[in-house]
Amino acid sequence: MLFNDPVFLFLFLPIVAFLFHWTRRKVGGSASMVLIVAASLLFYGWWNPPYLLLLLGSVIFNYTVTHQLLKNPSKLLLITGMLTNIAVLGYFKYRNFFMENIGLLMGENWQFEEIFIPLAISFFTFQQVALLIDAHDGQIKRIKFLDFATFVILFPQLIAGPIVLYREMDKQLQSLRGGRGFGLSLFGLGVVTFILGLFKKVALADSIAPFADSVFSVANQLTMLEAWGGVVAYTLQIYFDFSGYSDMAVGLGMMFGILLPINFNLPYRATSMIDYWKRWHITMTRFFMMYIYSPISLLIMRKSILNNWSKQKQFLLAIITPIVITFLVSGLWHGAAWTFVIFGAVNAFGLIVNHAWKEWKLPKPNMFFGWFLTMLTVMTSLIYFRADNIVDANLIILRMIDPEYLVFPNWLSYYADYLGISWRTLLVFSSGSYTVRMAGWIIALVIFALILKNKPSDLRKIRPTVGLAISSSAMLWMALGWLDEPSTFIYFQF
Amino acid sequence: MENKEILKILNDVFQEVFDDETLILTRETTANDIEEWDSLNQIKLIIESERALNIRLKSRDINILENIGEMVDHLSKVIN
Amino acid sequence: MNTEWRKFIIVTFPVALIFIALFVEFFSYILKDVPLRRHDLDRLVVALQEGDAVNSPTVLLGDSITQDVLKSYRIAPKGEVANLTTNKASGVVGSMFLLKRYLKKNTPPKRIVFASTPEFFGYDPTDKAAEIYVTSVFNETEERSWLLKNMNSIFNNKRIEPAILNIESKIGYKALALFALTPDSLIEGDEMPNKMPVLESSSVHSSIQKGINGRSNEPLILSKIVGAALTNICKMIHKIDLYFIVAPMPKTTYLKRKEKGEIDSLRNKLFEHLNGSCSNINFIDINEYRVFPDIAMRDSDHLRRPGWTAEYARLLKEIINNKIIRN
Repeated sequence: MLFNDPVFLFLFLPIVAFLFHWTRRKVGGSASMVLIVAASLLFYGWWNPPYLLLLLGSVIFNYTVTHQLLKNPSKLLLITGMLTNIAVLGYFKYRNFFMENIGLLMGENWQFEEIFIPLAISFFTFQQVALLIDAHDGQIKRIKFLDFATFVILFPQLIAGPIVLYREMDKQLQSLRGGRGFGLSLFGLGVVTFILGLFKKVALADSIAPFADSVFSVANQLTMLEAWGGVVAYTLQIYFDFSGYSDMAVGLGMMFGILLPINFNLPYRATSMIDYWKRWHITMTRFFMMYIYSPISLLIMRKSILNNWSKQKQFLLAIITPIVITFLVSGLWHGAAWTFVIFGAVNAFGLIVNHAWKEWKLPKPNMFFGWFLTMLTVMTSLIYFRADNIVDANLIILRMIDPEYLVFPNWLSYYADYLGISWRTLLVFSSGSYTVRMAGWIIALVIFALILKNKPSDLRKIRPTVGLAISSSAMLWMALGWLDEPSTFIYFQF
Repeated sequence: MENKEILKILNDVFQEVFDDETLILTRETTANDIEEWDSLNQIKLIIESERALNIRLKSRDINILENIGEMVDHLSKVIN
Repeated sequence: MNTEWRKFIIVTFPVALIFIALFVEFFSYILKDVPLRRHDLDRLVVALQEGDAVNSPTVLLGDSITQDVLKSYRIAPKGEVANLTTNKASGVVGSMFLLKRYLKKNTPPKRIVFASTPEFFGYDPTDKAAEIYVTSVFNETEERSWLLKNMNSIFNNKRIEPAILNIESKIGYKALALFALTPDSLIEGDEMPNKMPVLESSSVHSSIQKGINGRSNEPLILSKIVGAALTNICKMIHKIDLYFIVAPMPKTTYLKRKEKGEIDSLRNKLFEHLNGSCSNINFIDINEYRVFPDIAMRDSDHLRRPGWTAEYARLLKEIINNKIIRN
């Protein structure tokens, strides 16, 4: 089931929300938690019932390990637990990729039957691995099975995040149980936030998607303008798709009286790569920072200070290395293909340049220039993220920069002749009306991306005004009107 | 060691890492208030704090602290 | 929930929802009778309705390869040939409806000429194309009942179509249409298609070649719905002369089709199907007059401008004036 499915919107959500709060009031917090876990399992199993076993198996296994770690924090147990989780993830998600590449190295061309990747496996695996580590560290004192299950399975964040840390939910679950939680006090805000997310996904992302698709599907026949248009379109699409989803998750959480962490903060306003990664997929960045980057960087940095390394050596080993490792892993986490690895590498490169600039105290570039460079880097990484393969991605990039590919469409032939530029009937920009519509959507979405806030500076500051009612209603109607085909979210096969 | 002392030492560490003598920390200060705060500076902060207070910190503990107040409390716990 | 938000959820928000829906519905009601102007077909429909009668002795139907050419070139003296060509999307069904509308104001022509790709006769509009080019254009009662009877599947059974859920079509396009000038005549190109220099050899862009090679994979058929539409055309006008002209095809495609005997097969199917309905049926293959090399195409279906489109126009003019009208 997806958030933009009519079944979810008109059946599942209203019924579960009602039952949850009714149970919470009449029976008790724990009962309502049981209810929501059951509902979440239904939500997950709707898509493919057999994989419920995998989810449940994972939860039970990890709970057992956690329980043990809390009694006796053995590093061996922790490593075993982590490796088991990663192995399962690896099997489902990376087996084919891994084996095909081994085969290539051996000069063979093995093709494997596609393994269906269980929905959300990357998310619930990571969330639980983090929990195992926290349990071992003593970050968590005690944990009931119901709390654990709720934490992992809660449907607002089960499928595609945000990646929640247990300590964020711990107190909330205790309060819920004790009848002191947020209850319905965030319900209205949750509805409004959910509608915003639905609008972003269904009305904005899905509308510009076909334009991006039409460009990426003919990588070797593009001209410069078409390539740029498609890349900008996709950059906007992925933002509204994913931030829309995250908004929906947060909104849903609030409707059930749970505060989930936010995932975005106007990322396309970033004026540097460092800034960008503080604003994009915040919970994932946090996860990687906490559990991969910081430990490695700290370890090496300590060594560098102890052994008095030169600035260059320190930069190479204590800064570049952890960044590269973190982003290659992050890239690969997004998908089992080399394009995702390069996506990670491009980001790593941008960050390294950014850090180097700061370390060597070079003059700070003007804000617009910084924004421009950042967006260029981000878009380049997204070309690899979206393209079917590396060759296509390279072809697109080539066409974006090589003046040989600057060709005007035939319906602009008058201007082309005037400027001395060649023209012909193009494949994607074949008609003026299509191109104008695409440009219109791009301009509208750029404006939205720069204005629509993701993170109200203070939740309680949002007042339920008439203006809010009107804008939310307008967004809801537009989303419902565009709800025709429930296409999946991009971050979905993770 | 008293929290007030810890805060003072922390302030000195921050001033050095961010190369800004005018930087003043309060218990409410957060990462968002300091523009130059990034993952790299965070590592440096940890290491310099360790040196200044003669303790050993875990990055994971620092990463999730909400503000300086929480950091002071955490450091206090570690020291004592 | 605090009282502010409670009021919002129970009162303010639902009221806003209803209010906006009603507001949009009202707006769409005002725009109800504004004829849509999204594409050439919309324009053609408005022109037929608003323009004066032309009473042409020849009505020309066909798809975009011909439509494209007629926009620039003149193939007959003014008013001799009524240009009712469209793009492929509305199908032969669309041609039939256009003819019917033409006949509302104009005297029946002596002859009807189809100048199109042969694939036109195997194509039935579906899904979004059917919505944009058929059902939203031809929505008069008789047209709707013909569609319901013969092409039931294209209706997506949306019984309730409130304006608020269809803003794009009920308001967006209608509002844009307000800015369009009302056309009052059918399109007739002005240039004379004198023989212009054409490139005989040069290389075909790989993507175009790919499309051309793939074109012949689609077999030529006469769809049931097209057959029904053609029969209906014959019924519309008593003793009408019907001409089918096969438009230029790239050489690669033409040779493949000839080899498989597909063009003759289509010819036979047309004759067989219309045997009882139309008395005088004729079939002309332009590609027999002249082979159009692959380089003449700007994509798998359409001719390059200006030289090759002029060549097609010239041939069309010759055929219509010498073979068809003289008959």
